[in-house]
Amino acid sequence: MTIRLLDFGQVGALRSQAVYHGIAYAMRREHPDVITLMRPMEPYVCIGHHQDARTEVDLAYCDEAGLPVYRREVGGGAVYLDGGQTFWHTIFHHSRVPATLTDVYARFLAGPVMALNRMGIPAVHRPVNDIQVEGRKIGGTGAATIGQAMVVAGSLLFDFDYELMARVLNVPSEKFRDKLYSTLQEYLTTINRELGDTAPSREEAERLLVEGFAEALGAELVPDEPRADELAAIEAQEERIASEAWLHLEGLPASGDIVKVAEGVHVREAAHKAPGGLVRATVAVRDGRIHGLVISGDFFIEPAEALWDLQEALVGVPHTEEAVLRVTKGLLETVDAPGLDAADIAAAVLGGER
Amino acid sequence: MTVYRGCDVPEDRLYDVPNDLWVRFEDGTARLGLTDVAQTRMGKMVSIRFKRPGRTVRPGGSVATVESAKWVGPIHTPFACEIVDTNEEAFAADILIANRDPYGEGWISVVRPIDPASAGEGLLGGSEAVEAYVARIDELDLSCFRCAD
Repeated sequence: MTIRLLDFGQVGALRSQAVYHGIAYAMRREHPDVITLMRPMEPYVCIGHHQDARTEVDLAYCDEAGLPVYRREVGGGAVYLDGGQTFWHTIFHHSRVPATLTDVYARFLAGPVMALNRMGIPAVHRPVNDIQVEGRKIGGTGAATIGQAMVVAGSLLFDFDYELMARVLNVPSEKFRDKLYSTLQEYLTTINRELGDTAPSREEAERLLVEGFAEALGAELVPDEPRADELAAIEAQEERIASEAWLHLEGLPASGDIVKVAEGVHVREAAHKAPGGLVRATVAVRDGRIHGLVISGDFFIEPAEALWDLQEALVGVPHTEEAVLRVTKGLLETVDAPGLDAADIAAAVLGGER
Repeated sequence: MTVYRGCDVPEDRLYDVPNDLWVRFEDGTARLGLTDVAQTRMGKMVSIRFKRPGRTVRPGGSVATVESAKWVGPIHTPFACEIVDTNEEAFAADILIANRDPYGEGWISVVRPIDPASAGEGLLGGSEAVEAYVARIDELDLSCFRCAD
């Protein structure tokens, strides 16, 4: 089996989103599968398929800073993207990928993990879809069915602008933004941060990635050019992705519930000393419910992404002991967190020592 | 009712097996929903966006887009239709409703086929549907799970 390798090199911000959407929409069962590589020339902000741009992103700041904002068909959260990363996309016909997402990610993340290992980074795949280095994430991944293709998206993260990432997001308060910034620094690492002077060149890293994909997928990656129908599809996607209608998509679950930053939102910070370490929580509460949450501290939790899952799971939950305990208990059951139980998390989230 | 490897395939409706969709014709309209196989493959849903009533959708077009924790994808209609109703309220109250009850409370949309005479073409029912699903579940090497709470 051969896979077409389409290396687009440096592309504009808009094209860096349009390429994989276009290739995916052009994919038919009789076409060979594709892997694309590219780096965005300009920085931009990219929101998840079902996110509300006005809610998630500080659009006024992005406008001022000249940062375009684009919606993608892949899920997840808003991210700041720039030339510090090489994007990769596996674009396979849906009939040729495993049945479950766990297996899809296992198959397509093996190559990137191999590449990072060969650079000297002890990266591992943490199911379902994280690539981690000693508990820190190194880039993000996502999947979507686009047209007839299953797309898995990821990146080689060389550098990351933690400050801008924290700046472009809408947050309930500046205190919250500071916390988000330090949490990002704590839980997200990069190739250059891990390797310093010994980091490979961009070309070498991309070569290792291609080699990793070929080995992990047991296939030859054949460099190719996009077909005319693929180019036409990419151009059509550029038009769609650049449109206001697509950015401000109607009928989103969150639409109509746009939160005005700082209005009616109460932010509180608390720390609680658990047997396993200190738990800090910065909580935004709106109308009695948790509107935003950052948990940090010096406790141990494995896998590390469980903390992100917990933060996400608690958003929208009533800011009461009963509700927080219920959600937290369920999540902590499946993770390894010595000296930390649901009551400790609840104590921090609800306002400190009891 | 047939359950194979944990995957429920009720025999009271029709199936678009390759798209893991069920269809129940009801007085000129059709109710669409995800099968047990579909909800298992996508995992816990986190978000769903419905096409609004009044919109028409071509065959293979999407009536809704769903997002699970690790994936986003469309729900296709097998035939051209106009959207009559959506189950938005139920999903707003419980986003996991299709993970818990895909064949009942977790239905997706009610549509009116543009050409009712041909709308059932290609859909399978009864023992044919069960046979096709048994083969598909084996091919996918899948076992189904429901959200318990």
